[in-house]
Order: sequence, then C-alpha cells, then structure tokens
Amino acid sequence: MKKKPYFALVLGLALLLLFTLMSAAPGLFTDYGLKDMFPQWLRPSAEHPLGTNAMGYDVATELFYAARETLYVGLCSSVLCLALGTLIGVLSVRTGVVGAFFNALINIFVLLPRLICLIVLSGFLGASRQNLIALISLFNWVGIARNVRAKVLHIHEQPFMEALRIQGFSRLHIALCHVLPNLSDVLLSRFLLGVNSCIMLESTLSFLGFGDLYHPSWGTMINFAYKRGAFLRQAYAYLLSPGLCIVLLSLSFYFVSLWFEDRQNSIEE
Amino acid sequence: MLLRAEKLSLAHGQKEILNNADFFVDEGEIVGIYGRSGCGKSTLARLLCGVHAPKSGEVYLDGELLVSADRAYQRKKGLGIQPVYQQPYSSLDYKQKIGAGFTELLRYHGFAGSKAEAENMSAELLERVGLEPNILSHRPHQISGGEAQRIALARALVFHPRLLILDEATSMLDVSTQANVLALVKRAMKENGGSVLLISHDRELVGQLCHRIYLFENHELKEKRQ
Amino acid sequence: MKQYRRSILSALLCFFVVIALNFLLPRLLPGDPVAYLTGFAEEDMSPEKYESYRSALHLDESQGKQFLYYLRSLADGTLGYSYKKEAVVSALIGEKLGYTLQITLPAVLLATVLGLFWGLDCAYKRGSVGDKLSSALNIVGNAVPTFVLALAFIVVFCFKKRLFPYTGLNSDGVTPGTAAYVLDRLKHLFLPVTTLVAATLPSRFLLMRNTAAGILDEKYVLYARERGLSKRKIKRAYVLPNIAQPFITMVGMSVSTCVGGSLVIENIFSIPGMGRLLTDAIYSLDYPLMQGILFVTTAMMVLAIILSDTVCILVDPKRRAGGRA
Repeated sequence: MKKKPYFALVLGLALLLLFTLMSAAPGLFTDYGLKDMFPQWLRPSAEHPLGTNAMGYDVATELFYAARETLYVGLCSSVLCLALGTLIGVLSVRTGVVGAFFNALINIFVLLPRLICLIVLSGFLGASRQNLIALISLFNWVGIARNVRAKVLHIHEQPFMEALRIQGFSRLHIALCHVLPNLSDVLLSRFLLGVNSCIMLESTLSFLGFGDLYHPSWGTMINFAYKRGAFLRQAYAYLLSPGLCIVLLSLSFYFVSLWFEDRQNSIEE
Repeated sequence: MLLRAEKLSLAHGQKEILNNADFFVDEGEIVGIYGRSGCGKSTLARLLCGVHAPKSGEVYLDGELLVSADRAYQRKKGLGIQPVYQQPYSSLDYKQKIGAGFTELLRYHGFAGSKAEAENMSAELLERVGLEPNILSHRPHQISGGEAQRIALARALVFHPRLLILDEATSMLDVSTQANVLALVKRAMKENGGSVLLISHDRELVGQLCHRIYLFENHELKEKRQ
Repeated sequence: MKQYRRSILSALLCFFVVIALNFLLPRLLPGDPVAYLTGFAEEDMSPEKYESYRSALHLDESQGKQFLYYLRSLADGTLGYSYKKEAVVSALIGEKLGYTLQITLPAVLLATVLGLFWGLDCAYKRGSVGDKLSSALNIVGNAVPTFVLALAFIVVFCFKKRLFPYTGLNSDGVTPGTAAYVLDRLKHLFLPVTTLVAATLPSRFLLMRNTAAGILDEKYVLYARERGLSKRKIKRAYVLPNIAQPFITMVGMSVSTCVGGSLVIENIFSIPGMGRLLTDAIYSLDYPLMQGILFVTTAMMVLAIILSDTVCILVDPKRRAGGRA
C-alpha cells in the first residue's frame, strides 16, 4: 500500500486556510483600505510590499481583497459543475433513450473548444459574475460526468449488484445505498480537481478582459497590470504576484485531493 | 412438487443453452445438476433467480407460475429461491461492513424492526453457520473465503428459502471447509424445510449428496439413475 | 467498428450543435437580431440602412428559410459576412489561420513527444530522485495558468535579459523571402511556442508517466521480469503497445488544449493569428466573425479527435484481428 501523503495534506490545508482567511477577512492582512490613495507606480518597499498600481492603490491590499472574488467564482462554478456532472453522468448509464441522450451529450461537449465557446458566449451575454459562474459550469462538467459514468458502469459490473437484486432490493434502494456511497470518494477528489480547472478558466477569462470588472479577481488584477503598462514601468511584483497566488491556491486544492484519491484506492486493494 | 420446469428453453445471446428441458425438484430433496464447465449451468441458476429470461417454457414454484417467456419473473415469489455462488465474495458489497449488510437486509424485508433487533438476529444467523459475532464489524476483504461463503449462505437463509441453489458453491474452498459448508446446508434445510439444487461439475460430489441427478449435456437435461 | 461509427456520429452531432447555437443565439437573445448580426446598434443607422441590412440578412423571411440561407453560407465556404470589417468571414480567418498553426502545430508536436519520452523515462525510474523531482516540477507547472507563464517568461527573457522579442511575428525592416526573414521569424516564434509547450507539457508528462507506471506495476510485468525478460523486451512487448492508445488519444486532445492556449499566447505576444482575431471581434461586437471562428475551431478539434480515434482503432491489434470491437 502506498504511503499516505500526510505532508501534502497538511500543506494543502494550511494554504487553504490562509486563503479562506484572506477571503473572509482581508482587513486582517492589511492596514490599508482598498481605495486608499498613494502615489502611483511605487516600487515595492516596506510600506507597500508589492508597490502601488496605476491608480495609486496598494497592490498587496488589492491582492488580499481579490482572493474573495477568485474563490467565490471558483467554488460556485465547481459546485454547479459537480451537480451537473454527477446528474448527467448517472443518467447517461441508464438504458434506452435517456441513457443514449445523455451519453451523446457528454460526447458532444468533449469535442467543443472550451475556451473559445466561453469567450464567444460571454461576448454575446455580457460579462458579469453570475454569467461567468453559469458559463464556466456549463463547459466544465464534462470531466466529472465522464468519471462518474465510468465509475457507475464499473459498479454495475460488480457481482454484488446482481446479488442485491436477487435479494429483493429495489433499484432505487440499490442506487441510493450502494451506488452513491461508492461514488462519494470519486466525487470528492474530482470536485477538488474541478475547483482547480474552474479557477484556471476564471483567471484566464478575467485576464482576457471577460471577467467582472466590478469584482476584480486575481486574473482581473493581472489584466489591469498588463493593460496599464506594468511591463514598461517594470512593476513586476504587481504583474506576477496575483499569478503566484493562483498557483498556490491550485496547488493547495491539488494536495488535498491527493489524500482523498489515495483513500479510495486503498480500500479496493 | 416444489419446483417444476416445463419445456424450458434458454439462450445466451445467439448461443443456445437449453432446448425444451423438463425437470423438477420435490419437497425435501437434494437434486444435483452436473455437466461440463461452461455448458450453461450457471445461466440456468440465474434464470431461476430471475436475472435471466427464458426463451420459451415455464417454471412453477409451489404450483404457481414463477416465470415464463411471456410472463416476467415474480420477484416476490422468487425471494423463496436463493443462490450461493462460486465466488465467495461476489454477493457482498466490498465497502459495506458485514453487520451493516445483515441489518440492511433484515430491516428492508421487515424481518427486524429496530437496529438492536436486527443486530441480535444477525448474531443468531452467524451462529447457525458457525461464525463468531465479531465478524459483523469486518469488511469483506478482511475475512477468509470460507467465512465469506458462510456469510453468503447465512444471507440466503434469511429468507427461509424454498429452494437453495448452490452454484459450484464449494469449488473454491478447501476440502475441510467444503465438508463444513455442505453439512451446514444440509442441517439448515432440514430445519427449514425446502430443497436444495446442487450445481457442480464434480460428479462424485453430486453423487454423494444428491437424491436425484440430472446430466446437463447437449442442451438437454437427462435424469440419471443413481 | 461500432465505436468508430459512434465517434463520427458524435462529431457530426457536435457540429450540428455549434451550427444550431450559431444560428439561434442572435435570434433568441434579447435585443435586435440585426444588431447581433451586423454589430451596429439600431440607433446608429438610418432607417434605409437598417432596412437594407434586414433584407440582406433575410430577417423578414421565415425562420426555416433563414436557416437554409445560413446553411448555404456554411456550405459555400463563406461562413457569413462581417459588416464591421467588410469582408467575407472565411477570407478573414484564412489570412490568420496560418499564423495560429505556426504556433499550435509545433507546440502540439513538442509537448506530446517530450511528454511521452520524459514520462516514460520517469516511469521506468519511478521512485528515484529524478522521477520525484520531475513529477514535482510538472505538478507545480500544471498549476500555473498559461498567461501567467507567458508573462513570467516575457519578464525574464525580454525585459530582464533582452534575449527575445515579445511582439509580432517579424521585426520591421526584414525583407520577406530571405534566410534572414526565416531566422527572424523563428526568433519571434521561439517564446510563444516555448510558452505553449511549457503550459501543456506538465499534463502530458503526468498522464504518460502515470499510465506507464500503472502498466509497469501490473502483475504480469512483474512475472515477466522474474522470468528474466530484459528491460528492453518488457518495454517493447508490454509498455509500448499498452501506451500507444492513450498516447494517440492524448495527441488528439492536445490539439484542443493548444488551440485554447494559443488564444492567450497570441494576445500576449501580439501575434496576428485567429485568437487575436477573435478578441478583436468581441471587442468590436462583430458577431458573424465570432461565429465563424467558433465554427472553424470546432471543426479543427473535431477533425483532430476523429483522426486520433481512427488511428487508435487501426493500431489496436485486437480490432485488427477482426474481432468484435
């Protein structure tokens, strides 16, 4: 049996805790307000660890406040993804028209170019936080659905499923009490990985300018930095620190998901 | 007659398995069906349990129609027919504790009301098959093949089955465990009433235990003299 | 064979979904279809102009007829007309597609091939320091969004070190058709392609390494090794055949990730490819152009995946022997 990745779990949870704290109470991390004006484009210093931006706001403060926006969109869309993906994945296993339809749906969405569709649709529908969450969920559920489908098919092939029917249990009972619990491990680790891809999509869309400008996330911050000339002013901290935060947040979810994936495998051995 | 099959035809996809076969099992009998591996004995067992449908013909349990080509398997009646498989672990959900499985079974079918009642009954059932109650807190991968087979038997006996089908049920056990399990079966069915259908490729085993024997060969069931 | 037919069917359905989406969206959303299809707001136009647009877009005819006109525009290759740019959509895309491919194709090739060899190498040496470091590096790399990587590369290689240019495909003053031109082009392509490779390589590496490690951990490989089969024989007999299919599928999917990734890259490196065309189209609300690009991108991806599925089927010895799929 493989060793449990305790170190990764602890690290991941610690980072998650940090970011959750940052989202819930950004004021703890910084004394400045979001709109406190300072001279523009200051270099990083003791008073402004990351410098100030084009409008004269402290970059570090902006960073801490943007954590909330990034996490909010990331988590909301991944919860929707989970719900949508599980539903469609389970329905795609049914026999007959229902199963065929949802299976076809999965196969079609696999072929669609995700980022391009998102961009075109947000061009049509306008960029707001709600739209962003809805659109990202609409295109990110496929991975979960495929995993759920594969897992449910695997479970159905197990001999005990037939034995349960012979022992008189109804299909509904079997689905709720034997299929779903077996699914829970897959769902948990897939959910955590799903948060990652939702965060990536949100950041990329925001960077390209399709994010919600009134609720700037880390991606939006980088967009501002890029568009307003951070390169020319050599304000690299402003440009890259939100990126570092995105990386750390992704890694934290990934580390936590590792621990759940291991637990699932060890029981089946 | 406890079980009667008339002009039963079975097919698995394109492959023909049984053609117009007749057989019966009387009250209190142990009937054996033996034949080469792979000729379709298990498919016959699965038909009697309602997992497979007949191509034509009828099966009657205690005089009433159980299943036919036109009529779907009567699950409620069919609960009186319980199988024990070759693979000891195959009837158990590998994530579920043994005790939880029994409690679920007992409470779902109304054999027990509360959790405490179910746990008492489970301990009793285990005793009847010669197992200690501490097995209830284990999961399938933590118990041996012989123990698992006895649990499968205990689960089948919950229904006080009219017909217990042993489908190569002892093939994967060592000789002494085999003997134990078979003795348990005999005792349980004597207490219970009901009959046993023993399916095996082992001619000797079938000859030793059964009152009557059928040979499964060339898509036919022929009764053989003992 | 059944699976082959199924994947072609999915591809056709996918096309149909995109076509239907393209057709229905401007007509179902709140707002004037004329505005969506031309990009001009009603207030900005004189009544005669408005009427002329309406009839040119066949909006006064029945929905069924409109759909047929739309299908015809797809069939005859024009993919619609962009009123903002005053050119046929397919011509606009055709100009820029080449540049996108100059970045996408090398990136797909490099990322998949590198991923395969590096991943296999680490799988053979799994547990070693090299494997652990490689895996850790790629895990971190996988968590970095493409645009962050691009910006970081630019900061390091263009501003701090001034090694590479960071905009456009060619510098001014270099005449096309010369060797210097080609070299210049390569210099400009270096960073974009490298960034795209760096962005997509981690997931390819991890996939190949984990699949190969899974194969090598199987019992039958253990027995083979106990029987004394040389490492090379094991690789050839067990690992390569089993990894062929996942690899080919991975290549097919890589096309789609690289197409998405190149969108970001083209934006940052100011490459005049299809991705830039798309962002321009969105800023200027040029819906016909947007729809055309969506159609072309979907076509590319569907083609790539069908191709990779076909190769998979051809390569699978079980299927070639004539057995059931």
